[in-house]
Amino acid sequence: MSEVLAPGAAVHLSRVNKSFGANAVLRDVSLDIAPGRFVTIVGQSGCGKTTLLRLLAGLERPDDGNLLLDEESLATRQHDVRLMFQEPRLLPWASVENNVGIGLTGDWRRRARALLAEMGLGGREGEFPGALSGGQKQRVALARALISRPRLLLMDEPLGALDALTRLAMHDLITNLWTAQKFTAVLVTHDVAEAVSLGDEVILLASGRIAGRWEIDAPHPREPGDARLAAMTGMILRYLCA
Amino acid sequence: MPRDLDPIPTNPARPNFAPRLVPWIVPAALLLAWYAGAQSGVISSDVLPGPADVAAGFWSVSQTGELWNDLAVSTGRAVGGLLIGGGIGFLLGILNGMVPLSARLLDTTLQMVRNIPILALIPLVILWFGIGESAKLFLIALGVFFPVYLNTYHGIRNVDAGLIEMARSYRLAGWALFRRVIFPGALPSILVGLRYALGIMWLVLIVAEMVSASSGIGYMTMNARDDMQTNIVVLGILIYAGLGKLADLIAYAIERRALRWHPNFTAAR
Repeated sequence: MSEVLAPGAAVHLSRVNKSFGANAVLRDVSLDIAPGRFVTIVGQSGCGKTTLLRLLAGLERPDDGNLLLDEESLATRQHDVRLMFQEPRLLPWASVENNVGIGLTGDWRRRARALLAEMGLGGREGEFPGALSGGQKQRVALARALISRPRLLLMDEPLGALDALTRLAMHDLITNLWTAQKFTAVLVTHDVAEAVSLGDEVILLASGRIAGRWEIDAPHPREPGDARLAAMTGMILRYLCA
Repeated sequence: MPRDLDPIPTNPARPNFAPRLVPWIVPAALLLAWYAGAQSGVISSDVLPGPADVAAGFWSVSQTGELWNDLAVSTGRAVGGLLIGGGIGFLLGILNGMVPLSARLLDTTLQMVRNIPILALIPLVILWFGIGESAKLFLIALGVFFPVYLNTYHGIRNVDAGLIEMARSYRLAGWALFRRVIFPGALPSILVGLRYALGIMWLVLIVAEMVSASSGIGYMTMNARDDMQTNIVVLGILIYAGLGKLADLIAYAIERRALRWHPNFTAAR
């Protein structure tokens, strides 16, 4: 593991465009994310937020524009980037532990077990994903994303399908891991309260353009009922629905 | 092995055999009725010899060694045809599932050939191969080819695209991607194809052996018919039923082992 680089990667997007057929999904998106920041992206369905994340994950190529990670082309730095999907996408025929270690070689099993234990899944590494609840599956997916110590973690509404209490527990878990590991995080969500409670910065995407940016300068971890954050949420919601 | 995922409900305290016996009530009753009918003369022994007659027939053909020889020959044909036809079907299914160009080139042709009833080919196959082993191997291989091919092909095509995308984003490619994601994803469908193939395998074997053979259970049965040994004919039919059931049990055991992760398999069949 190279410790020369900062744990978090700097992300730089300039004038990125992406269309599917005649449908322009992202238009001239320019964005800088400092190393170790937690950025959340909100927007209505079809605003391009998932596409933006998939571009960062290297699953789509931009039509034009630049995507850089630490001033290098993102395509060459894909091993530093991990994506959590909306669904856990665990291999149902592989044990929890083997799901966490997918694509890894060498001595990863000890780390996988330690990571699972940290996520409250100690002792369950031999089970099949079918035996886990939705929240537990997403925790396995999170462990899978983090075991290779990514410098940029992308999350595409990974908590959308979870119940409210499980979501809150996942917020704490993600915040704690992010605080400890200091990776750069980008979370896409349709839930403005979630975006405000997790992000250092909230970005509003509308019709493929960046329509607003808000700094949330409150220390992590944040209280779920914080009045100032609630006011912030209300204001962003008004923009979102405008 | 996670104990709590075992699909068979275990009851270590006091094994209860009653539920296991229930499926055998009807066969046992039929056997009893058959025995009673034959003993009382209600069923003529020319039409259907009783269980005792069949058992005696079994004893005589197993004493001469004829039965074991025919059984070995039939099983050899069945397994040989299954390996050849199933193997080719499996490989072609994988090829067409993985390579779109290959699928476009071959799939339509294979679908057309599939519509030919296999047993209609028997006269032609006899003309080509005579009544030797190759004729029967060819028929069985052709019969099992299609279910294995079709289910392998569709299994591979229908592997969850989200899982493949996930695996690619985790740097899995080539053989590793196939072995860890695509093949296990297609396996439930492949095994369904195998079970279909086993059914067809016995069917084709029986017909082929009855039409043209100089050994095997089918030959034994037809020979006995010529000699009016109805008990041996019934014995042959029972042996086919037993072999079919055995093959099905083996396939089921393979499925349960290979698909123990599968939600459909955690509930008992």
